[in-house]
Amino acid sequence: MRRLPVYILLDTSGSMRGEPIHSVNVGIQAMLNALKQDPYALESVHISIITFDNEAREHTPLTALENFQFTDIEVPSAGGTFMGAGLELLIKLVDRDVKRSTEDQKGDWRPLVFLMTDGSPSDAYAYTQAIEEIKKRPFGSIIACAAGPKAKHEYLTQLTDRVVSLDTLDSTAFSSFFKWVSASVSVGSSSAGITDTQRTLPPPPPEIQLVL
Amino acid sequence: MTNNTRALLTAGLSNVTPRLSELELSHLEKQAEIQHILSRFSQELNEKVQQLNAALPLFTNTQEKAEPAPETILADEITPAATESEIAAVHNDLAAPAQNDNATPLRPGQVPDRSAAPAIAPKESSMPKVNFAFANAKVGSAYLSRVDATSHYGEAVTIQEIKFSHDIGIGFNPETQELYGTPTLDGDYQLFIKWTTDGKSSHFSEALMIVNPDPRSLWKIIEPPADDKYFKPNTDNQMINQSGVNIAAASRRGRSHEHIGSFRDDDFFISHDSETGWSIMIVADGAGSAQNSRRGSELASETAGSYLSKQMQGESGQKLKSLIQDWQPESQKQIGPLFSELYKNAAKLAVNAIESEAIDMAQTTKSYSTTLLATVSIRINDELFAAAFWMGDGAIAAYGPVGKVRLLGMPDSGEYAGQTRFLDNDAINDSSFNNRIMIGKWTEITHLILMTDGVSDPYFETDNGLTSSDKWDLLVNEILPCLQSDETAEKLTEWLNFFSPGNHDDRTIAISW
Repeated sequence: MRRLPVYILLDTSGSMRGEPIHSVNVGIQAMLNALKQDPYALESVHISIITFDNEAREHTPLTALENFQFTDIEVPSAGGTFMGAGLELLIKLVDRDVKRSTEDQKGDWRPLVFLMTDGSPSDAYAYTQAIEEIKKRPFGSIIACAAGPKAKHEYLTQLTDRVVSLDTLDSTAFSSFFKWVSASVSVGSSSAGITDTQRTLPPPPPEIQLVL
Repeated sequence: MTNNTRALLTAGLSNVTPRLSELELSHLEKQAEIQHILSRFSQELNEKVQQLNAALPLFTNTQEKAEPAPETILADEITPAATESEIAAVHNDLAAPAQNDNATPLRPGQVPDRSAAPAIAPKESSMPKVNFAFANAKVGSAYLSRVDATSHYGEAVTIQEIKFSHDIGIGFNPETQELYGTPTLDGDYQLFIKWTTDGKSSHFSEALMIVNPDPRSLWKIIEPPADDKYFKPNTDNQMINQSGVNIAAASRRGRSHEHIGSFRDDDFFISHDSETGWSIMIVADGAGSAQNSRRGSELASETAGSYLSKQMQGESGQKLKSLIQDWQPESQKQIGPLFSELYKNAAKLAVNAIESEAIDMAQTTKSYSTTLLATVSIRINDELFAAAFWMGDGAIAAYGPVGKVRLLGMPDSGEYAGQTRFLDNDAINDSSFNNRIMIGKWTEITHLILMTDGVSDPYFETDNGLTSSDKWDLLVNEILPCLQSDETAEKLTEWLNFFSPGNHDDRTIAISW
């Protein structure tokens, strides 16, 4: 069975406390439920959740959608936005977990990454360094979401040309974002040329603006 | 935080280094690493202070301490709020294992020497926190999972009873502490767990059981738009039965396309010239990610197929045939370059056809990406000669006798799933183009088989799997009944519908026997 690894990186800095993180939790739960109604996803999608504030944590290791048990994400009492640390952890986990084809092993699909932040990296230098490493790895798609008015697009566009923005940090916005994430995951596993770097994604719903 | 950074930095460095200049300070201040250290410092400090804050309600009679933890409800009456002396005793108990030699009961307001985690609220001491872990279930699949109960304090937890919000076909066996059954409904269900640590008092907790749907039940079959400019029927097959030669081909839309109402991207071409005895078989797999690839695979197989058929007719076909019959070192030397030329031309024509179409329709050439696997073969007496061309993934093999297989080339696969090479000018002009062509003449070959990755992936999985004769034996055994039937092509199309979890691509196979 070929796995489609999906990494979800979530900002858990202090400003995400309260309604924003609650909405994210509701959104992720809804996304999981939507994915479970997709037979292809149910057989191939593996999800990992990484959180970052003052440090990056592996909230949930790469787990088959079938076996996934979601525990709410909590935001620590205070914390910066160490997005660079988040990307460093992502690189470490992808290098550790994602299988490449060998003569005896079936490779995974190229991993998808969804990163959500409501701010900008506190560790700008580490962030830029990590992006260099990210570019060396064959991710299927990286989609960055700038949530709320304080999120800075210019950092995210360094990471990927697929940046979307949400105006607000409420549950309507997040649920439509995660719904779109699940639709994007569903189209993630189709054959592509070795040199193809980007996959075609479904058009985002109206709550989500594409940042060009 | 910015003001604090400066203050913390100055305070932190005051003892260690001589006074720093303003420039040095601001340089340090801007370093990401320094910022990280300082922000961690403030976070940890914050946590420490918060813990102290959290401990405060112990000593004042607030509602909070009597409130049960959300996941745990006490079965008996809620214990009345603890008195001050009781709390002091709790402190004492906890302090002892924390290797605090000079542990004395803390008094209100006193700061503990070291963090006395875990938190020491009375609710924790009278109602141990327990986590229950068990596997997710799947509709229609037998389920058996032990419930692992982990107590915060390490006591042994015995589950006495588990009730369900409604009957989903799962029960609990207290003897084995296992959940068992075959779930009938998907969804998330609340379980009510009655448990004990001492066998005397019981507690109730809730836990969530996740029952996944059976993926097989979720596949939808949606028809693709009938008026599409590149309409292609969902299945296709063809059978050739001439002068002792049997060739069958079948192609079927994959479940992943059925589910979203998109078209089959695969295609094939077969032909046989009864005069010269040459047969052509081609399978092509349009790239799943390219929007016009169904037309690409059709154009490539049609164009290459007609060209090769034409070349194998009449005089040129007879000339090649006599070279094969001769099969002496001298004739063998000529055969290689001839087929190299033939396949190069066929590939060029196919790429040209795609490029013209792309220009005509104002589309990108890439949107017609396709693989192309072809064989030109002839049976002479009990021998089979075949020249194979392999561009992309899938498989071409000469099979037979039982237990023996010759793979006629190597698939182009990348490091990750779904990555392959497609037919384009780069591949044709590549100096290794001839490596894509394999020529041979063998006895006892029962079947010459070509397939797209929709068939080869579930059957062979890896590149090494493709060379395993056991796997080929299995495949041939499964298709033999189709080949022996009167409606070979139809039966083969039906067979292509086999279910293999995670493998739902279009499937195409061509066989000559």
